Amino acid sequence: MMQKSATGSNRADVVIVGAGPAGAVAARRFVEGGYSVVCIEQGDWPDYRTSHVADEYLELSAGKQWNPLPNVRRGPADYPIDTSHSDVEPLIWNGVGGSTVMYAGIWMRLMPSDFRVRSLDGVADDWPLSYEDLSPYYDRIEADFGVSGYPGDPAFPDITSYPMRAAPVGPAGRMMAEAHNRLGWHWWPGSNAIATQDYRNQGACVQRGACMWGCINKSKASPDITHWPDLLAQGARLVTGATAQEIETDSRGLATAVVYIDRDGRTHRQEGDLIVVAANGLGTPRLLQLSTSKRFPNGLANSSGQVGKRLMMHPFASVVGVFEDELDPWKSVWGQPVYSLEFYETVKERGFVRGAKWNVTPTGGPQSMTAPFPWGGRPIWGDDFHRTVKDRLGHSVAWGIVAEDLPEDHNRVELDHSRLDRDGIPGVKMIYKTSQNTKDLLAFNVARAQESLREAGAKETIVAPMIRETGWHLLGTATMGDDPSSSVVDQWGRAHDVPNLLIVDGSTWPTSSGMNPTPTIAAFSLRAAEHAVESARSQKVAS
Amino acid sequence: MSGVDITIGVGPAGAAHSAAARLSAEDRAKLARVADLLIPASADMPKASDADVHGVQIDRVLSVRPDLLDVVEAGLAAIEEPLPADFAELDSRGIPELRGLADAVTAAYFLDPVVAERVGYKKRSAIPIRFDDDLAELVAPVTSRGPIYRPTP
Repeated sequence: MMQKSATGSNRADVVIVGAGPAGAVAARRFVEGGYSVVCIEQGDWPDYRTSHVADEYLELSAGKQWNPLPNVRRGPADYPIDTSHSDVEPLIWNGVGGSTVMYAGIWMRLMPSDFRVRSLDGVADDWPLSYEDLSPYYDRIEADFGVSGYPGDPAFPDITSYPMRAAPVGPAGRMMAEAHNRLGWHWWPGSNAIATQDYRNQGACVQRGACMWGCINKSKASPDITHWPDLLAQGARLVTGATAQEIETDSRGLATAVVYIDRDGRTHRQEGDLIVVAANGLGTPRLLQLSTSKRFPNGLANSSGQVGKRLMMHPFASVVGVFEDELDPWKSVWGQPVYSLEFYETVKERGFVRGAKWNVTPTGGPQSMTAPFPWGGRPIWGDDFHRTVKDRLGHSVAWGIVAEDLPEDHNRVELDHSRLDRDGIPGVKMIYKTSQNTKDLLAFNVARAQESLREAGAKETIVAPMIRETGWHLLGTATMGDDPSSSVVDQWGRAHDVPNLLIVDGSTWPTSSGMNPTPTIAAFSLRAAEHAVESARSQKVAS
Repeated sequence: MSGVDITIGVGPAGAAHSAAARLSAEDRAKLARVADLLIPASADMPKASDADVHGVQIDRVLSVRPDLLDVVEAGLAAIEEPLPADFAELDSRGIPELRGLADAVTAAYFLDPVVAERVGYKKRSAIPIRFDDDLAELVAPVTSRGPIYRPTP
């Protein structure tokens, strides 16, 4: 039975690894339930003083300090990631708020079919929970993350309200909306975790179009703003600069503590009744694989052999349209002014299963007009330089295309004992190949996106080259299911092998959907934490 | 609300100053000539050296991105004298370090106030939200087609 600790005890009721959205959401629910919470976070708080979103250095800082590639940024909390056997580079931020500190704030629920791909399309696996199970938690999470949007999208069963009104669709979004209306294709005003009015800890967005590089207005929801300041005031303890090294277990196979190394290299042991892992699709399998013992020789919670397997990463495509009209796309939210789910559901005649979600994406400032992505590798310097920049700058907009990526055992995360982090802990190695279904799916959607842009009046469309730096969504490396022989956790995030170990991040996803995952990661974490609170009386804990 | 209380845009660090100082007069002279191959003048835009790319602008770039000093130096070192007549000829040399140097030069060019004014982009300014009041009308064709999701079986 999990009991609420007496004040002053060093043992916590709940120890959470990771202060990103999954960890923060769980922490809030446990704190609300009256439990003591300690969160172990390897990174630090984001330093918005280094943000350049309001000065002329924005695009420069985006290339380094605010670069989502850990292998480029090389911050003190970034552990080594060997990507030499991966088609895609991971994009993550290690610190308080997790990768939402750098996300665009795009907010999409999954659709009902995303939970039933085996039943509906005969591939992969159904989730052990349904859209209807998660729907009430989406509603609550959207309030916590200050989401703005326009309710009533017929692509979903029951989105009847958002906490705030949708951000303006802007000239580019309106142009694409009208084009889709002419084509008879779906589109909808964008839903974003971006406050369009002052809301709780968030300030109203001022449309700098720079959400990913340090939102100084605190408009974009990330847990360093929306959750942790309040949680700390309510008594939660957040240990930053602390790298989890191992989860210890007792002779009964129950988790007892998280062993971590602080920023000065000292080792600590934080005991807890319930251990919650929320370290993302790379960090979570890494920690489980590091936690070996006589009882768990292949890593913790890994009797199925599935820890680290089924890595999914949402290969991403982009198609740009260049227009005569002045669109000034940077004078808006970055997020998504509008989105389209016209080609999201499976249509068998297309020759592939599942689909993709599109969102309108600004193309950026002048420096971005010369970049290989999305414009292709042909250099533009010399005599063409000024004409090319003039054509593109303020006159271009892109469809970003997020493709569903199905799980395959050979796409995986392993420990890399040859490359160690600052504390001597092994890094990770990603092995990932994009499947033919995903390639076919992307090719189809790219062709349709060109049609869409031409209908909107584009004088030129450019298909961005497939690049490696698109791995924002790290999913599926500790999959959930009802069968302990083929999955790591159950529908409540509870490890089949370790009754007091919860995993609440995107690693639990059996399939990836084609949506931006943060809302579902957060809703799943809330549902899992709530179940743990409600079943605390029967919760087994180490003695 | 929380109040917007974040200090932004920290100034150049000491390391950045020293990064700029590492570029010699000779480096800067070569940088000016290479930059003009990358960004020549047009009818209404100055060439790179007229925007002081090799002077104050590259120093401003390095103040924010001291890591680019190595990129600039490597690019300059890889381009052998005599310089070609135009960018096409330079590009045909197939120098791997050219891309990084070109990116740094381009960043420096767009920092020049005259250039920024003429391309119509200086920095991101605050634009208060003005909500769309016609969304119901705009989405009417979408809603009129009814649900497009497949329900849970």
